[in-house]
This record gives sequence, structure tokens and C-alpha cells, in this order.
Amino acid sequence: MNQGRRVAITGIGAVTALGHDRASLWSGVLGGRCGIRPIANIPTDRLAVTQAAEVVGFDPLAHFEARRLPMLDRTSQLALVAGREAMADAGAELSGLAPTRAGVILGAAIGQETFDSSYKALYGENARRLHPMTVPRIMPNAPASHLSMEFGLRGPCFSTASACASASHAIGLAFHMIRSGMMDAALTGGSDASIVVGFMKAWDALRVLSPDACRPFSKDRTGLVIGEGAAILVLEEWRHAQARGAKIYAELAGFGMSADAGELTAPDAAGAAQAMRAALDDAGMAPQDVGYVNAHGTGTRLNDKTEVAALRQVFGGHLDGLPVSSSKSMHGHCLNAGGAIELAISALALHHGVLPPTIGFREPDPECLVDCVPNQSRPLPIRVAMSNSFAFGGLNAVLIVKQAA
Amino acid sequence: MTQRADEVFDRDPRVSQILDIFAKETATDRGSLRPDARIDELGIASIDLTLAVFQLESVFDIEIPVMAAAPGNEFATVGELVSMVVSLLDNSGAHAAAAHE
Repeated sequence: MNQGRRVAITGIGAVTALGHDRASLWSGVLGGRCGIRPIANIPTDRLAVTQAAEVVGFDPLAHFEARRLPMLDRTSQLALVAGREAMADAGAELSGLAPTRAGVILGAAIGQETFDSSYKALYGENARRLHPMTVPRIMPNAPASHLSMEFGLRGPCFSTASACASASHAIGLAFHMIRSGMMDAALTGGSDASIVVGFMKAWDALRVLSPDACRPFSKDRTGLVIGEGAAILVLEEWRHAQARGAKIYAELAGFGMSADAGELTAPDAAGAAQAMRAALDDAGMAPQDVGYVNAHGTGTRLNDKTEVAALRQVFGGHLDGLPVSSSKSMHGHCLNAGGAIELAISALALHHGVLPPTIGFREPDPECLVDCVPNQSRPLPIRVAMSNSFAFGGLNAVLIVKQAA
Repeated sequence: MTQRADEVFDRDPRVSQILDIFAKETATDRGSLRPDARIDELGIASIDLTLAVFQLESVFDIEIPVMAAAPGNEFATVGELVSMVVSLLDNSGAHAAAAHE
């Protein structure tokens, strides 16, 4: 267990398929609302799978001056809107911090909308020139840079790349850097806006997308559903947060990482279990301390049964009474932002004492038997929650939050 | 052959459109865009100058060449930029006229 400084989550902002703010995300989770719908923002005539968890009705001009928009891919737009909400939520007293002691660490996410539309213009429409902001809009650190500029945060600022674990790695690093004294506060999380024709076509080719619904842990599950969105959290050194009387959603208590060093795309129970154990060690906790797991839970045949096998390795008999749900069934698989949205939900679950459901669940699967909080959220005060992210490339990141006390 | 900048400013009706675009893209006061105004003294950010060049290329369907010796700093004054655009328009007009003959 690490004896460094404690870290509080004092602000949360989110833009997801369930709505454009934290309140709509949480009310959607409470109500077991499904954000997965027929794709509306892009043409689908060339796609095999035509559903996703899109952010709908998002008007950039409602949030940004027209003159600034050429700088902002949708990925950065979502990050900024979520970041503004998180900062407002944390309160103005954050200004007591030295700007050089506050940083921004996000999951890396390229500007897919810009990438896709630029290639289409160049190769499809024989465009003579591309927009001068194409490069800075696409760069995977753009959302982190825009948050740093928006709030004048001048400490460590960068993005981490580990596919679907990117945001969890980012949050874990920010947590450890505050704990070790390298900085005092951070904006952290992730943003992803990958629902563009080229990238969805590439997902089609992997043959893992569900044609109907995301049903994690259900025997009749048919695959994952891509989502988009952003979640940004304000992390703050514990005593600073307490001294200013900040609302503390939860304490970020543990972070564990591992690599499968095996298959590029197939999950590995041993690697996932290793990351969960590392997070428990980091938090100084025993498996029995955990009261809820927000699973990676993609809804593919392979992920869910491998994840449950890993959970069994780590939790043993404790798993029989341990709720494990996948909120991806509601907000979709938000790729580079997934770990951030799911940690935000885990922190809110601790804060409000209600567990998120796994919706779309119809039938238990003997290959992954687990209490997945089927179809309805469950009021249950818990002390500790774990959030899992297991990425393509065999890269695993696990975060543990505990009730503020 | 390129005309003298001030002659172009006085006589060519296209200059007004060029300056409108330039002022909008660089958020610069239109009245300050005199032929001898130095671009580096107008307080224009380098990226805004790039965006203005892109917009002029797009609107007039011309290709403003990158000067190998000073990419991004091809024009010292507003007059030089305007002369370059007008001369490119003259050339592309000549080509268009030739194509119709």
C-alpha cells in the first residue's frame, strides 16, 4: 500500500448518449435508459451495423464561438464541454492552486471526424487543398491541450494511448502524480468521437459489433456497440479539497496496470486478474472490501466470459455476492473515453448509494455467471467500487474508488 | 507582370473582396489594411494568416505558392499579398479565356 497523499474526486462532467451533462448521465443510469439507437449523424448505407450510442442534438455553436470551431474536432468539443462542467462542479475555489501545480491527463483520441472528412475530400472528392487546421485538429493530444488552454493549467499535460483503457491509464497516472506530490490537482478522463464512416467500417471488419443490442453477461449476447462521449474528472489533493470544504464524490484509492503479452485482440484472464490484484494492492485492500465492480463488460462472447473468469481468480467465493454490472449496455463502448465515463459512474454510484444496472439482460450464461444487476438499478450503499478497462493490445487498467470519509 | 501595389489597390475592383476576406479571417480592422501595412505589425497570429491564405485559395480557386525560403511568411505587406492574389487571378483568367477560344 502506498502511504502518499490521498486524492479526492471533486468534480465530474460528462457528455454521453444519455445526455449532455452529468445529471442526464446519472438519471439515465438510474432509470436503465438505453442510449443505443440507429445512427443519425453519419450516412450508414455502406455500414453493416447501423446502430451506435451517439451523442445526439449536440450543437457546437451553443458552446463555442464560430471563430474557434475550426480549431476543434468533435473530440475536443466534447472534452471541453465535459471539462467546463467538471470545473464548475468542483467550484471556483480551485483557483487557490498554483497553475503550475495543476495538470491535464487524458486518454489519447485522434480527431476522427476531421480525419474521415479530410480523406473523403482528398480521395473521394479530389479536393485541391485541406484545411490548415487539419493537423492540429487530428492530433491525439488536442483535447488535453484545449483543456489546458481553456483553464490556464500549466502543470503536466499529456495524453495516454492504450486503446479502450486509455482514459483509465490517464486517470491512474493523474492519481499517482497527485499522490506522489508531482502536482496538486488535475483534469483527467477522456473524450472520444469515433462514429465516422471509415472507422465504423473498420469495426465492421472485426465482426464484433452487435446488430441489435449490447447485452453484457446475457447468454444471448451478440457483441459490442460503439459509443461516443466524454467524461472529465477533477482530482484534487485530499487535504486541499477538505480545507476548502469541497464536495467529495469519492476517494480515488487504487490503480493497477498489466499487459497480457499474449494476443493482440483476445482478452486474457490472467492479465486482467493481475491488474485487479495490483489495484487492490495499491489501495491496501483485500478482495472482500470491494462492494461493486463496474466491468469492462463489452458484450462480446469472449470478453465477458474471460472477465468473469478473471474476477473469479481474484475474488474467489466473494464473487458470489458481488454485484458486477456493465454500464456499456446504456452508453455504449466509448473507446478512449470509456474508462472515464465508467469511473464517473462508479464514483456517482458510491456517492448516491445506487448500483448501475446491466440492461438488455435476458438469460444467465453458465459461462459467465455473475450478479450483473440485471435491467434495473439497485439501491445499495457500498464502500468500495472497482472499474475495469481491458484494451486491444492486451493493455489493462483497473481503478478503485472508495466512499469519501 | 505584377502591377505596383498601390495601383492595384486604386484600380482593381477585386481588391475589395480580397481585403474583406483577409480582414474577416484575421479579425483585423479593414481600415488598417493599407498597401504598405506590414503584416507582422498588424498583430496577426501566424495561424490566422494561414487561414486567410487558405480562404483566399478556396474562394478564388487559386494556388498561392509556398515560398521555400520563408514558408508562412511569403508576404511582408498587405500590398504584396493582394498583388500576388490579383496576379494569380489574372493568370487563371487568361487560362480560362484561352480554354474558351
